[in-house]
Amino acid sequence: MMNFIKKYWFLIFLLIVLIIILFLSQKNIAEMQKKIDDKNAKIEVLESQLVKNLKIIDSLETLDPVIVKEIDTIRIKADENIKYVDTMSVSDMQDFFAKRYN
Amino acid sequence: MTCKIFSQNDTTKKYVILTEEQARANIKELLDYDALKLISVKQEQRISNFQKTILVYKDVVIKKDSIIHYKDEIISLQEKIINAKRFLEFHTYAGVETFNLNLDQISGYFRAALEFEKINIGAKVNFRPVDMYDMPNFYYNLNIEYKIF
Repeated sequence: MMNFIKKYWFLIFLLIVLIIILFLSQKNIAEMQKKIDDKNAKIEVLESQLVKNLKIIDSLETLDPVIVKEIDTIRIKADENIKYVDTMSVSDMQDFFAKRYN
Repeated sequence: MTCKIFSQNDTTKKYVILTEEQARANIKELLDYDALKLISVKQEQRISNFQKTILVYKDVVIKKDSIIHYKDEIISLQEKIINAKRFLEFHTYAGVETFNLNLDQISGYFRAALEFEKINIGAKVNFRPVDMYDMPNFYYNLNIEYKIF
């Protein structure tokens, strides 16, 4: 055994150096791959949050036309009521003020 | 013409006397005021919704920036992995070589090498079809090479 080591020490030394280099290289690659996996997981979380945010934006944007329609309805009703005032009788006007201030 | 029936409370007087025409105008303005008050509430709602939308859009931009940042980092890491893989390559070669310039003294070889960025470590097996001086017909050697350029 000792004779074999003495005879082939250089080859054994080279093999050991090579194995160490390969091991370190693979370890480094595995660490980097793990970092990539972590970052991909973070991206997935952010993308799911983005989907939620886009849904919120959608709901807020669909709400605006509804409010605009409500404003239009209020305006139309107000205009109708204002037109009706010209035809109101004195007693109706009396009722109006009575309801409003009593 | 005055009419006592159209009356409103005042801070200084108990009643304000209005003509019928004034009363109608007053009712119209009051109805308009009520409508505008309701519209104002609705417009406030719209403004609030727009502000919420802007905040959510800002959050979306921040999140998209974060995603881009992470993707940049991933690209950088993948480049490092590619370079690390290039750092060590294994190649084999088969060829023939002459002894000096004697074409009748050709020998063949098979060489395998682990090639790093600057250093190659390998083994070479040589075989000769014809006898050459005192060299054996088959022999092998180990070699380490440093890449000069």
